[in-house]
Amino acid sequence: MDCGKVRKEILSFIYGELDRRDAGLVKDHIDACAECFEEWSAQKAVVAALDGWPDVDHRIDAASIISRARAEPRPRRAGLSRRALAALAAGIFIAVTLLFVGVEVQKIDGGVRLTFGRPTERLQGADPLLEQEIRTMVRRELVGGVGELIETLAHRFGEAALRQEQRQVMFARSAQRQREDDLRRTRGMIQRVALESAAETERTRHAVEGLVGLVRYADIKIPEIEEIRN
Amino acid sequence: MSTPTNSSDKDLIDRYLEGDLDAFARLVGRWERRVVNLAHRLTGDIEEARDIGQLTFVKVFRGLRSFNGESRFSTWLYTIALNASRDRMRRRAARSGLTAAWAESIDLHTPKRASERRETASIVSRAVASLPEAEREVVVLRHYQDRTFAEIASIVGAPVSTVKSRMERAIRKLRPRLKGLEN
Repeated sequence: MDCGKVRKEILSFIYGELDRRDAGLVKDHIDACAECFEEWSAQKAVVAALDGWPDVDHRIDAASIISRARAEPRPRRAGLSRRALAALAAGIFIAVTLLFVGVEVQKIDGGVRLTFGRPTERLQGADPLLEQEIRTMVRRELVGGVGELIETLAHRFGEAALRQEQRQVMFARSAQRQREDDLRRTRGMIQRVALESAAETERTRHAVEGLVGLVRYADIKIPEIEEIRN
Repeated sequence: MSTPTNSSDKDLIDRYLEGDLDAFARLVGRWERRVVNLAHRLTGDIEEARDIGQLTFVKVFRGLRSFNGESRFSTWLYTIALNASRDRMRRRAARSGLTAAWAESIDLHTPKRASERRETASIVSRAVASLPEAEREVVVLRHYQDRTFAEIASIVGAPVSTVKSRMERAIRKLRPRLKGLEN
């Protein structure tokens, strides 16, 4: 063993953590090397000096620990259980879907049926009656529908956490009513985006056709463009 | 149910899980002194150390059912006690704006009759208290709690090589402060 290795193992040697062979190698080296002997002596002196701080003597009454453990409420774990979290995620997904896509919530025997609508089909017409229908649905069924869904899940899983979520959704109903105006504005925005998107698609189609014409005129072969054209 | 005095930690845990509270009391009795002394040497406050000891065993009492036995009981216990001590020190530092300034007010709890020993203990405790927290933890666990470097690595969540380096640095820093104290 060279000095570098020995220096790294001196504390393990002092605390008796080396196996017999390594301890022997370190000891032989220290006996033969004045510098490593000095290092070992200095470290051993510090370790010996640490003994000058004795333990305190203290008894803990196990009975008091048991009574304290039983009396004090368990600290709540940060976050919800996996199941509650999954239900909450599902609830949020459904709420967002209800807000932006349009869903019919129908309570059926033993559960809830959700019918999803396609936004472009529903929105592109910009029919005032359709808008009224969606707004009414959002007002009456959004929060209530999610609430019922969570209530059903809560019943099915018997999760107190889910019931708590359901109660929170119920509390949110009144706040949701206040957000109707926001929803109406959101609806208008979605309509505009959908219409603009359709117009943009049309412009893109014209641009591609123009590009294809240009390519043909220049007699350049680009199979992808042919494919788009066809 | 009687519990033999030479039962292993695992035996005591198994008996406790079967409902034998006496086995839990024996487990506490076996480890209480080490846990309180660990907390005392890390926090420098005997009252806090007692409370940390209580809190540690409350957590053990509650958590033993989920203790999977993958690590040694002592490693798990020390991890709980160390975290409780760290938490207490950080809360105290946040309250007072101090870090390791407890070195000035450390409570030695050594017999007053031996004034010389008391003076030595005071010097050693202040020297250990002056170390950075990570180095102090390693010194306390290795020297005062007789944990191996490998076990300390598991307790503090660091590689063995890091633990050894911390110990070496600590010893180097302690050298001038403890000069002449060795017997």
